[in-house]
Amino acid sequence: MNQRPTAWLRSGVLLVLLLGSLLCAGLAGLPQPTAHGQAARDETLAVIVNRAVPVRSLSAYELEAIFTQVQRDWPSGGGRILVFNHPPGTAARTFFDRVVLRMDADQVGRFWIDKRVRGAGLPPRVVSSSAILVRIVASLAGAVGYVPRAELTPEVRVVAWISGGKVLAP
Amino acid sequence: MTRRTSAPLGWMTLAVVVGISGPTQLLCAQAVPLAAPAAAQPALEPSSSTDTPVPAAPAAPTPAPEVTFEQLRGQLEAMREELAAQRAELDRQKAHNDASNTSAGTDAQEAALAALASGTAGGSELATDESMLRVYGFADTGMQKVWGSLYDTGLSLTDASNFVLGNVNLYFDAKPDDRWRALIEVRLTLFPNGAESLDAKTNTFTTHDTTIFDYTSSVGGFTSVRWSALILERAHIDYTPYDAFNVRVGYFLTPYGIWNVDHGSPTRIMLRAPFSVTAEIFPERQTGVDAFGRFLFLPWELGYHLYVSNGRELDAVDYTEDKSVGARVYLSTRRPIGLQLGASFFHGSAQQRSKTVGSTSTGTLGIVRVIDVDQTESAAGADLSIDVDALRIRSEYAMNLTQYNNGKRALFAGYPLADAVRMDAYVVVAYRLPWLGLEPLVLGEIVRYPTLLLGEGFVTGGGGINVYLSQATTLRTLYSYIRSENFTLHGPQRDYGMHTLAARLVMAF
Repeated sequence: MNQRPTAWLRSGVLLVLLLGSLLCAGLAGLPQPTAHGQAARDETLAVIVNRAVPVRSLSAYELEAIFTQVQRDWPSGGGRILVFNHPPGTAARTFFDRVVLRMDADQVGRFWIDKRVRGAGLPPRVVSSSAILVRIVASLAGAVGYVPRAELTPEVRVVAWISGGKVLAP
Repeated sequence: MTRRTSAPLGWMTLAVVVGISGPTQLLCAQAVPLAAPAAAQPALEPSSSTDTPVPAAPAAPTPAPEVTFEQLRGQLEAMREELAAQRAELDRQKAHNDASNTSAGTDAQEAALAALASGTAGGSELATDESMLRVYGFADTGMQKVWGSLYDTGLSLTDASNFVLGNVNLYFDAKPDDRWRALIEVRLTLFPNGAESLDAKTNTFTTHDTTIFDYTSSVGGFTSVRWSALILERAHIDYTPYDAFNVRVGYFLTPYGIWNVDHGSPTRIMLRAPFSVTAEIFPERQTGVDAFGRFLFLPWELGYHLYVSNGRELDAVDYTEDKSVGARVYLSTRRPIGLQLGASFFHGSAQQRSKTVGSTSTGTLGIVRVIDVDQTESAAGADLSIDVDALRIRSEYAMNLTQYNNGKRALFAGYPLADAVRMDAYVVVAYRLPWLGLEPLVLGEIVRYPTLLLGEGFVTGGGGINVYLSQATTLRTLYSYIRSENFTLHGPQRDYGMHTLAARLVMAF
């Protein structure tokens, strides 16, 4: 190749710019204090379903499949699963994702971006209030969600407890 | 990495109470200490969500301690500050929820609440929410440089460093019914202006110029513009009655391997596509019907695709009733490690035709169809994905046997192509470091793609670094070196090499 030295000089400058951008980008990507770190108190969450749902308990595997939208139908002809989640970054969501999905908030976000780009679907609907979530689950056939134990009402059925970093049978 | 902060569960519970009742609740709570501060004060502390809210105890008969006006004013100010902080946190969370691309919460919540309020809650109300068209997508842009003796063969457009606009892809996702979905994805491009194409028959390159005069401009058409095109990535309608059986009709990405399923730059680990994709060992897209589904044997998932299509579509249509068929089956799990094994298959035929005015089979003057290319092909592939904590391994193998019928061979650079087995195998290994959001990666690839110009195939090695800036934004860099190889052919050794250096800022939205 018969390139002028200035061409390589320019390429060198571009390479330096690229490496500089990489360094700056890396610094910008420094880990920040996360909800995971700040709100990782092991509270007790109750996984709740509508009383018409034909299941009495859900295992950790089943919860993971449902909340990643891999499983979309209830067994035994129970119809379509309507999943309701808490907003990202909330304590309940962070705790649930860590125990059930075994992912932190960043990983969950990327998980759904990956699914979206693949054309494989969108994340579950989000309800920002536990009290409202309970009312929704109580009212909609096929609905499932989770709430802090204190928010439980008799109108819903508990199918699993999440406590101490584990999924426990009701 | 997330920058979100959040309150503990118990704190959140209190925040919800405040959000519903507002200052009234706090003022009522504040009124209690006036009578019995010692007994009522604990009710003001953030309570654990695992505890049932404790109602304020009735006033104790013991005499109230002396409380000065200044003390009460101090308590009131403290309560006001706490209320303001809680309101700010609620506003932050609400704004965050509204801005989040990963949720469709507020609309669903409003729809559900409307249903609850009207007393007609049911699936149809939520279905109304889902009927809304959702638009999302991704974009990547950056720079790249290509150099080396393979470049000197004239295949690449330039060896100068260039800033490039990569993908700008938009998804239009509609779900008018619980079991129906339409997905359309388009890529906005600057093509074809300035791009080259090769006419295999005349063996000539053409550079496209789309510059036109804008007759709508207010200066009377003296403004020139360059029009560009969009690429339809996919457009299909899905019927999804069951997990185990769904039907997709339309123009879909061929379900094979990892790269073609991952599809977009936010999802793919490395910047450069493997040769199995660039050389289309499997057709990248097809028009037809795809039945797909999954069976759960938790924690395992067995998925499948079975499709019938027009096949490779060298032209716009399939000229025969001999439709192409394909399949993909995969087995995956996320526990105890992420693992996916997949196998893909495709078989089909394709033709290219041209028309001339001449003597027809009956001896009359008319339009005569001429088959230029008639080929039959079979392709098979296998893929492996492993995720162990921060380690990601992706590997694909794909092969294709193409045979031409009756001497109707496709041309490359003016030369007829021989029947050939083409294959590609690659592995990419990436490890996410615990700091700076860095993910270094290395790749290796071996390609058998015989051509007269370039030899029998290539070997490729390279590496790069991905920098995860946020959930939605990533900087990807990759250097790779491609060297031509003659593995088995007894011909002149082609000694070509090409370096590529590329960086892309990738964002999903």
